Amino acid sequence: MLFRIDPARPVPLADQIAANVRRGIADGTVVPGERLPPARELAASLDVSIHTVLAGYQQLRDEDLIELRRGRGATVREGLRPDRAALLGLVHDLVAAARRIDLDDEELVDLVRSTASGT
Amino acid sequence: MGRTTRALLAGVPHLLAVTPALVTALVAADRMPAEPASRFTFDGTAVSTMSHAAMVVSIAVLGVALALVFGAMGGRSAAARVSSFDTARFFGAVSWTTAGFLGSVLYVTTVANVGAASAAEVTLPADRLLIAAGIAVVAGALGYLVTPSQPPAPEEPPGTPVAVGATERVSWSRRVESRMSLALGAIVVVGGIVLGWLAGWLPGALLIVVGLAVLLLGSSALVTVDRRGLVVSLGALGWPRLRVPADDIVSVTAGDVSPAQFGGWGYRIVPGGSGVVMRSGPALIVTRRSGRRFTVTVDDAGTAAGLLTGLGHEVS
Repeated sequence: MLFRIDPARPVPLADQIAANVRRGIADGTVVPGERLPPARELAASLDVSIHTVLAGYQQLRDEDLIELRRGRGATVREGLRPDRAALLGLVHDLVAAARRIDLDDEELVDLVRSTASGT
Repeated sequence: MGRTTRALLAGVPHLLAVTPALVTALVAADRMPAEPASRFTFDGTAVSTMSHAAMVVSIAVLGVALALVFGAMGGRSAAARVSSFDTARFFGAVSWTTAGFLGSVLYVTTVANVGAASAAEVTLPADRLLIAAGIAVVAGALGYLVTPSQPPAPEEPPGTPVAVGATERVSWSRRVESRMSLALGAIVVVGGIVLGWLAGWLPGALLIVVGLAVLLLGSSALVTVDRRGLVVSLGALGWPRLRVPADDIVSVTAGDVSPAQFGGWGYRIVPGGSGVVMRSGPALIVTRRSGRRFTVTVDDAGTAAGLLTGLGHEVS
């Protein structure tokens, strides 16, 4: 898969790495069961610290998109719906947009809840 | 020059090559021992024998099998250029050399048996091997001359160049797996277990080790493209790895290749190039400063080529 990160952007590099994987799963270039590049290799390839890559992978695991196993590395979860990755990408965009207009978390959640119950 | 003609040019020599041995074995059958000598040591004495019928059948089967294999490989349609060398003519030379050598070895072996009462009195001086080698060289040269050079398939555009920003960092990687190596490794391991059971643990264990090595090294490769250039890490361990540094890459392209162009699967060196060939199909091909080409079969090679182009390399 293709990773593109830009240290000049205000988004943390770990978040950018995670966003790349989410987008890859969403658009089908990364398929369930596929192995992500080993963290050490990817860190060397992107010229970032291995901790940055691991933080990105950790984020994806917390979102249930990938599995991290000792020895086997990072694999995209089997049976995962690509739409889920797309949705998680939207959630990250939503939060980023809310932060830009200084909306606090409580207000954002209220907004989402009222939209969800209104439809 | 059609594919059929190419297939015939590469295949028919093998049929012709076994003919003298086959005709001799059939015509002079009553003047040969019932168990003709089939293998010799370097001092020319016979070490093993096989029945006359088995000898005739194996000569014929060998000729037909080689004709089919070389014919099928020679008849492949034009694929992407993987070498600065004319691979079609090189392949013609290899096919004819093989035919020349095997044909003459089979013939001298058969002739040595004619007129002998038993295999024990059959001898085959080692200098006959030198004559066979000489015939092989001449046949190879002929094969090179008669095989027409094949214009390579037109170079495909290397995919859309991926624009890389000034501060951006990119890394493309993809794993390519080889079902051929998986199958081969598994067969060798099973063969090792069977051999260990039949012939003792030492030869069995050796074969198992070889099979595991094939599985470990040859079953997959990780291809990475980034600012450093192209890296291919072999096998499950990612070692050894082959690198083409970015400043050694003159041009990049992507195209379809076949193992036949490299004479097989795995890490291959051919005149004018080298490659990691795990399967037939899409491949990333880079030309180095020296003019030699390095090929690695990998899916989505167009993106990899586009990225290498975007990283500042000229499109071929």
